[in-house]
Amino acid sequence: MIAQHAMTAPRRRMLAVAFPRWTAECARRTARRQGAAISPDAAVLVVTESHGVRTVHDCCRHAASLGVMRGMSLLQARAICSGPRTELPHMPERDASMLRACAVWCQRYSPITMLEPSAGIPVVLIDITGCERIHPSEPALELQVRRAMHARGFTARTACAPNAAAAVALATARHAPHAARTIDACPVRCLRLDRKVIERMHEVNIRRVGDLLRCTRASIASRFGAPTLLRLDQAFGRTEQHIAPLRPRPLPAVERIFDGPVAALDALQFATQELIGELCVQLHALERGAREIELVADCADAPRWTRRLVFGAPSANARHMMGMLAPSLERMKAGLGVERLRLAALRMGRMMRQEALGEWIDTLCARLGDGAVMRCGLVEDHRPGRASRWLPVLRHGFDLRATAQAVRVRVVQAWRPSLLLPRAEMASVEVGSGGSVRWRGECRTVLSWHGPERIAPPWTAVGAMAPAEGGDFWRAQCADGLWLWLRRTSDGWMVLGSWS
Amino acid sequence: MAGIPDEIRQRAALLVQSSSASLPALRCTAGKDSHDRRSDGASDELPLELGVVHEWMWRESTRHATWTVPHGVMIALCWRMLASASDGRVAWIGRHAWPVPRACVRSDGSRQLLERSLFVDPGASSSCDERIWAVQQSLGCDGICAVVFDGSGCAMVASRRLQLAAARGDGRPAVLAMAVRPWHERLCPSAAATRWAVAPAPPTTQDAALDERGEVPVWQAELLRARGALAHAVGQCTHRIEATWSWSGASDRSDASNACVDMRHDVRHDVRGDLRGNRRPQP
Repeated sequence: MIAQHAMTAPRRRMLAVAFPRWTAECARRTARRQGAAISPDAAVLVVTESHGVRTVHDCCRHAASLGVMRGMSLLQARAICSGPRTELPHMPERDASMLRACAVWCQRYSPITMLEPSAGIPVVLIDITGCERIHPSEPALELQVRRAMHARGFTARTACAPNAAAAVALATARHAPHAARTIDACPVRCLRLDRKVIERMHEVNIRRVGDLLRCTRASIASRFGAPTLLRLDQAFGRTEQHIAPLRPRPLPAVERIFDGPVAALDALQFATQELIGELCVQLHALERGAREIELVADCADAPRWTRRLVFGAPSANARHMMGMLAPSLERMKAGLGVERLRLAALRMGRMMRQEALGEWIDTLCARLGDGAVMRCGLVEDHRPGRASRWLPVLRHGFDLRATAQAVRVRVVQAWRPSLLLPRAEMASVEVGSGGSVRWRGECRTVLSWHGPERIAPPWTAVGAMAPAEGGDFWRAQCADGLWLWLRRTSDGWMVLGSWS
Repeated sequence: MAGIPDEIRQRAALLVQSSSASLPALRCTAGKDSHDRRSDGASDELPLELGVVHEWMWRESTRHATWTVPHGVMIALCWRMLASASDGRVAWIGRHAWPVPRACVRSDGSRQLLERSLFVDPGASSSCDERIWAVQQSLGCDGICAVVFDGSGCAMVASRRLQLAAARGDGRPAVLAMAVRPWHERLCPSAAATRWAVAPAPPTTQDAALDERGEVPVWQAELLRARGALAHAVGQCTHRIEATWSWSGASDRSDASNACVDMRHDVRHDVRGDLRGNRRPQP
């Protein structure tokens, strides 16, 4: 059984994503989000201060190409960067928070991701074991990850290997995406060793892992210590490395347990208000707003009562939440009373500036229905009636720009009316010069005809097109200035819309 | 036409000045002839006052169940509003007032109007209470810079409520409020600041730019009523807003396949100097 299990066990594969300029790129991204105008060709210097001395903690690739190095004094860096330059403060907590957010974001590639703290530079590890059917190939996946990070303003190096240590070593060693893929060629610093140990290795001209492998295990242990052997074994898969997968943070939740069943509405409202206040404090601490909240009441002698609310925009406004929950509390059937109240934020989002807009959406949806407020998404379709779709804001969010798919949709470059009639209307038409259109009891002289434009269904939707959507379409310019959008059928002419 | 005679120009200018105090909704430029307006270039200013309700009607000769909404002018004005309001959304309330989404996209690919638009469906109930309530909520929301709504069946009391909601005040950002109503309601009382009639502009052979104007839909909005204005200001002048639907970028206008549709956003307005007779414009 053991042998069979070993045969069927998937081959372990780890993907390491290293960020050599993480601090500088985080600082630049944050500054831009806060509205700072940083020119693309400006050198970004992340500055730290210690004992009154200001030094460069990190710099962007452009500054590094000019000769700026980490640890350099700020005055020296300023002298080197004579062009446009931006100096930003070092904020390690923000960098760590963003790295964790990045690792959580990477869970779209695999459910198991983790951070590697001892690599020298920030590294996110992704366990892609068993994901072969989802991702076409490892090089393609690496390219996809690098492109995604580049789109977000981060330089990333990637490497795949059978274990975490090897993947980290390859990713941190690589200066170009397609450099050597063997651990032997990696510098010894990629084994995540102590700096003093590395210096001792350099003294005896051991610079790469391959040089180290020429030594016997006994000499390595005696010269450089047991941790070096452990790192070496981990890199070659002889020893398992303990990895701690990143677990999502628990969602903010608060609860109140009463001494006995509470049936008074005032008391329940007061308790709910307090719970909302506590939840909002947690949300503010996380710098997030709730997109969806759930209030659960455990009732005595009655089934559990649950009310779930979806907000149009992330909200951490206690007054607004209470306003949305209050009508539900009045309708609650609590039996003998409520024994416990629990309020949780099921979904969260980054707080937006337009908090008033979110409250407006919620107010309208609470009265008119969840689908009352919509936004419009374009669809690549020649048929005017199908060139768009309506998306409820509560489900899809109200920021159309947030969806990358919306940007990719191309608009059909053709003439389309500004008004489409709800249904086609019959018209009697005389074509030719001096022709006329009789529509809605009014006869209009036509100055010019434009068309026909033949609109056919896409080959994927044969049979699905309504009869009024395809055919030969004409534009008629009437003498009174009105433009009509007409379709010619075997039964006659139909007016479908106009430019109004 | 070389231009309007100096006497008429001066009288028109005087008329606008005298009525400007009571007619704050319009910042009119006097004495511009329709022929030389195009070369004159349009100003980027919104030709309507913010914080009040403006009513718009499509001029129709017969009454239909599906009345026409002047979407072209609405879209042009919303584009103009977005240009001045860096952060704000446009609310389209009532399915009848919703434009064709394709018309909200410029030929240069700019989709700002569509991206910043939110469409409210108050339901298909015959009562307009829900619709008016939704409009009132929208006018009170600071995140919304323009509201275009279906104002059909809106009674005087409701329109007054909306007028008060549109005023906002307290240093909050002003809102552009536009109601679209059917033509058969043109005589209904309303508290709206202005009432406009929109109609397609017929191509004129006298127009020097016939080649350009004759090939694209052009709309003209005529002021029917301005609340608080001097009687003669409306009676003797015709305030016009003109919007043009153009296919910019098309080398050959007859070639529809190469053309890209765009709205001309140069909403223009002028005071036609029909001052020789004291004739009121016919609605």
